Amino acid sequence: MNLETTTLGDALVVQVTADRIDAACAIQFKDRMREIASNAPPRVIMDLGRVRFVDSSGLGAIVAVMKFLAPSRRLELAALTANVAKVFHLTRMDAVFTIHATLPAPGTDHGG
Amino acid sequence: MAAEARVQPGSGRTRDEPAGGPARFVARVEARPLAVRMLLYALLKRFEKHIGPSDAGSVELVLAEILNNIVEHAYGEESIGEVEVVADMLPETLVCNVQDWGRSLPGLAIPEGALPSCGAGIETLPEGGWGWALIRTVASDLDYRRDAGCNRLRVAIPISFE
Repeated sequence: MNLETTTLGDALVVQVTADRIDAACAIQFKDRMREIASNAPPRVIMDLGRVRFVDSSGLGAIVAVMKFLAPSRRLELAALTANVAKVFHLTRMDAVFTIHATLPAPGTDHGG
Repeated sequence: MAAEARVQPGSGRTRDEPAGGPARFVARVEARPLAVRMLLYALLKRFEKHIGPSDAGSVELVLAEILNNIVEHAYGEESIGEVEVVADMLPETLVCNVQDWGRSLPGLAIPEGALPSCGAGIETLPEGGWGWALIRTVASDLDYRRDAGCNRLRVAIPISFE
């Protein structure tokens, strides 16, 4: 599971460079995120711009990441592709996450 | 492919297909997550000329949820078996017949598929349980039968050609 991290202002950006988060890689994804989270700042933005498919296992893994980052760190999502956004919408998880249409510019506020 | 030429906007249910039949995909794989992923890739490749990107997302989601359920619940960790998918591209609908030889669905019925509650705070958020809700929302028709040790699920997914 390829995840690339960069710093954007006060936030850590984690770019998922795989094209899917599905049942076959959900556990690996969570494990890699746990490593990254161990020394993450309070704001973590997951860039999903390259992910074209998420199933319920992948969605559950993203929720799990938000749960283990909390309460001291917060997970935001950015750049959801159309089919991934649809899964968040149909499960109403779009109301749970802060979702940015594109990766926020450095220095912008926490966006809700 | 022939199926494209036979699409008639507004046509009703198809009964007898003309000679040659609809575009069809058939695959039988071991019910494991990576094999499911490969089957989905192959199915989308097979129908790439018939299905636009949005519909492809719906097809991939519905079949992924059905197949993941089979891997996790019909077989589970203690058993392994096969799953077969036969998909036919009909006018405006992809009809998929999915068979496995694992445990039956509870109560021999398709689960209601209510969305899990979002809970009272981050710590109580669900990490799963959306599968049947997604299948029921996206699919237009679902039918389940248990037949001599075999689970037969038929699902129809609307195709808009957009």
